Amino acid sequence: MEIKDLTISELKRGLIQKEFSAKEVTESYLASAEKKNPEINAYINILKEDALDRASEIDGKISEGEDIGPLGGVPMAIKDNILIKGEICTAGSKILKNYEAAYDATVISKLKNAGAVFMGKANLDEFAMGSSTENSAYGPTKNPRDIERVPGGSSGGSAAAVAADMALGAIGSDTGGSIRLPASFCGVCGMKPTYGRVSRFGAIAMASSLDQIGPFAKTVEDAQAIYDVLKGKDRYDATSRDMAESQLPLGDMSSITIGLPEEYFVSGSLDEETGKAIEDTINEFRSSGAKIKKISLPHSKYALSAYYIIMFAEVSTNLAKFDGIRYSRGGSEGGDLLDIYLSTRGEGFGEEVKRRILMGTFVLSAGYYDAYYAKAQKVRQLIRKDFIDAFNDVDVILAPTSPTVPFKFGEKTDDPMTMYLSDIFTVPVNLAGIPAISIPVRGRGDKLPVGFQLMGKHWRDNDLFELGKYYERM
Amino acid sequence: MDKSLDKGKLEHLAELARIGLSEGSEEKLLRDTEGILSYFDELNQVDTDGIEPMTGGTDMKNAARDDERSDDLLRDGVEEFPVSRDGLLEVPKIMKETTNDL
Repeated sequence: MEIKDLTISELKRGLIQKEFSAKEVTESYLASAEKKNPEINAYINILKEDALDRASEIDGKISEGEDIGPLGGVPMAIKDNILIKGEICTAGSKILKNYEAAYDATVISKLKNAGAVFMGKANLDEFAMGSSTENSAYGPTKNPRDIERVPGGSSGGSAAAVAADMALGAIGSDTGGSIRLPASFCGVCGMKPTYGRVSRFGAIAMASSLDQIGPFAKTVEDAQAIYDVLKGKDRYDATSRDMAESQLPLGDMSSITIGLPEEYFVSGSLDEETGKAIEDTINEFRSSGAKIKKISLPHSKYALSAYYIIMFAEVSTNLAKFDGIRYSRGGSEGGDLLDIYLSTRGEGFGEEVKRRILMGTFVLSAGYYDAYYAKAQKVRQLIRKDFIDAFNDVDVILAPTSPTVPFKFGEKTDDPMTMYLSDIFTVPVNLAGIPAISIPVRGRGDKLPVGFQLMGKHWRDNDLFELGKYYERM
Repeated sequence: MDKSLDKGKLEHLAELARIGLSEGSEEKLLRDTEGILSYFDELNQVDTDGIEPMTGGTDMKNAARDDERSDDLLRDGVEEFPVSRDGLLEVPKIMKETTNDL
């Protein structure tokens, strides 16, 4: 078996049994990254020297017989809105092109302690704002499954790195689908944990009431191995907390009920290939003995509007700190303070970021607040309640991740609303704060990937991993 | 209520948001925002009477921690600040020079 085909547990076994060294593993992934990155552009920055140093450290531990940690020697891609101390962190934006992180994000400290090897900083839509990774100031990422198509976004670099064997695992952030959509488009697993499960300290915030950090991997089991390292309460993120873990008993699938929200399956909501692939998946679960039940999430139709209003509002406040004084210095030095702000932000932010900040300023401004922001928060409550009600009857909810297969470059860049509609099946999860995983529909061979989503109850993240692993074994 | 945006309102928002708009970018911005805002009108169909707004991602009320002094970020924070001198942050002057004739 080639190194690139090993799962995390197989890699660990091989390392400990000295079938290969961590250095050989890292060199193999680096060779793949250096060969493919000029075309795929999954990485903004490949951390070659650091990765090799880390791998040597792991090899040292192995020869001393020390524990190498749950992710010992695992080559990982890190979305470039997550801080690694001493490394540039651009968030895909020109405004942070020289910004060097002064500390490690909590998830980075955890991954370091777990033995992970950081291969590089992965490309993203600027400040994680986009659904295709076409919005990066460092050029678009291409989909390794078909380089004429987008990898999805905003964590397109993370997903593409895993899909193209440039990393064994990755982390990204998901505000409205930014892990799950690229996972679906690139044919890998991607998971958004329950809001509060993973600390965001050291992640450059986009919309704080929605953002979560989560894993990418080739298999559900690997995604869970990464998730297990990331999770947990952190004193530096006041929304994080520890909760007791429990999971579905999967010995007998007939005790499991899977809900299908009728609003996601209305005629014309899916392209033909996606519709067929999702139907096949539902049938596989049905054959396994699971009960399949139609449910209703009546406010789904309004999720996209509520999501975009709330996200715009939070973006406009979160991005106020990029002022040309604190994180980068530029603009018209010598002018007065207002000139510095206006020129730094006017020139440093891309078009989509400026549009979202302006829209956010608008929905929060006097006279419009109630009509937009307050209204959206009430609709958000109704959407959350829809899920809680539905989970009285079902254990998990199954739905497509994206209404379409990956689209071509430029297809949706002219009209922002067309791009926003790519997130229609992913945003309700963030509004409600529940966990969800995107898993590739299997057996598609050379056809474009399709992902299906499993959505779970609050704090029942493990249900999704258990059911996902069951699907992979089926 | 007039929910539309025009050039004057857009310029006001840009000033509030501290974003310098480049020549000619306003027309496209107005067109795009008009499309987005008209999409949002669908929320008017939802009856939200008596519904408590969901104001965050969690139902936690407070998450206080002990107020302990930590120097973790102090040194590196200053070093990583774009411009610093002798361990202090350097920023552009914020006061205008005036002639004071008192």
